[in-house]
Amino acid sequence: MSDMGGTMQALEPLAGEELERTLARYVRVRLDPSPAQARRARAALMEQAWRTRLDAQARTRARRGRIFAGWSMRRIGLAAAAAMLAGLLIGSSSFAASRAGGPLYATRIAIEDLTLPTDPSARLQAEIAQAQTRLAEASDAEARGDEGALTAALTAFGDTLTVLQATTGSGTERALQAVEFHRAVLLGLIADAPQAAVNGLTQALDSSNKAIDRLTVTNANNGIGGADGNGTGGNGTGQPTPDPTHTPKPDVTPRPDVTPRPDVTPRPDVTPRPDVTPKPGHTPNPDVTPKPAHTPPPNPEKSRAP
Amino acid sequence: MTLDDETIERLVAAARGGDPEAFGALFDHYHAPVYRFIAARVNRPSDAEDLAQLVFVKALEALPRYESRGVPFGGWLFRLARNVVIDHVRTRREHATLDVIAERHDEGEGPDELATIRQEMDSVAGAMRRLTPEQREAIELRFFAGLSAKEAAVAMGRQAGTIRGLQFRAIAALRRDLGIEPEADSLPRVSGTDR
Repeated sequence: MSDMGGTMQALEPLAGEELERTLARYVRVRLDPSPAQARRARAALMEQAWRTRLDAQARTRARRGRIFAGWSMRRIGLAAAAAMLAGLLIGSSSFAASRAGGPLYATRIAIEDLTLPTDPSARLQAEIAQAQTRLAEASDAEARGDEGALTAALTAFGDTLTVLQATTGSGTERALQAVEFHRAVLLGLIADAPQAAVNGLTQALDSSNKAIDRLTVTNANNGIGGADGNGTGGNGTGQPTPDPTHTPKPDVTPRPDVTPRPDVTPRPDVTPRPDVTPKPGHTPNPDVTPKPAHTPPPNPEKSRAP
Repeated sequence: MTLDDETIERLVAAARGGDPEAFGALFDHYHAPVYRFIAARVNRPSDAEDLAQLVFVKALEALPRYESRGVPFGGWLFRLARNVVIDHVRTRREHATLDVIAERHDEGEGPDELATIRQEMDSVAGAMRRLTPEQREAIELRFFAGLSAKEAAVAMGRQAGTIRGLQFRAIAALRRDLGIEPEADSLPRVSGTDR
């Protein structure tokens, strides 16, 4: 994709400088999305992307379960399979020990922390990836019904949140987006969680809320303060830097002090836009448990994919 | 966010493998162009926002079925966007008279400057409306969304040469309508690499 006003190509009919300038101004004034619009769309999309991934993982687990169930029917070659399995188990014992809840889990996390890059942008990216890994471990532990692993993964997730919420400067927006959709994933987890896991998940949600609040304030301060010397003109992620004149985070729904539980506080799927008349398709149904990741397409069955 | 073709291919492959962050990076790259293309074709900014989001939801769903085979991802994505807009316009029966104009201005612009800019923007909008639908789409894809001729051709289901022809006639019509004199460098040229 070429940039606006970029070089034209072979036999390219050129618009000429004046027309290009006029069209570029038209794009800027009438067609460009606002930073808030882009942020809303990104948050909703990332929720969807994470839900898709978690669903795929759940399907894989279910399939794997079926495969192992079938083994009990296969008596032939059982001895050979058992021998191979024993070998595999010995080889993978250290890996198993480093899984969430395992004796080497804390060591693995410590090694991860030690090997974080020093470049601020790369480090932030790695910290976000760490938080996502902890969430994936929590999801996996919940699916297995392993309470110990779930607790360990959520505790480690809380630690990564503590690091992320301290982000300042140009990475704040990126960290905020990450924590916002981590929160959505947690809401998805809590909806299906057994009672024993709810407490840990609620605490993690509470930590996420606090991190979001803190990052929102930091982000707003960045916007008000303008250039911060760390290069707020570009955040290293390609995300548009928020307009300093723009009211910071007008689209964030105020959260109650008490950690919201999905069966108590309905959160709309898409953050409501104060400037837009809400459409029926996007109105959250308070009777329905709010599963955050669904962004209902206005008319999905009528659109055609190429 | 500017990404080269190789990076886009890599991100598409990772996103197809279920990597949400890769999809996020693709979103960052394409959201503004997709939004502009849609905003130019629907009357309400709120619809543009919803439809742009819908395009990416559909892309996420359809990504496992996407195969490059010489079809640029940008062209594929804008074909989705084009279909979404066509369906929207067909079902909503939009009329130009329902225009709700959203404008973004610089802080220092005074009332006189704003009025001048608004007049100029109305002239451009009028000139765009007077193009044929295909010419208008070629301008929207090439200049508003910043697609290459090849990507625009995929999006419109036409040949790249046809897109250039549409673009040539559209530019001439826009110049006439807006009273912009042709410039010496505005004639077709043979240079560079075709995309």
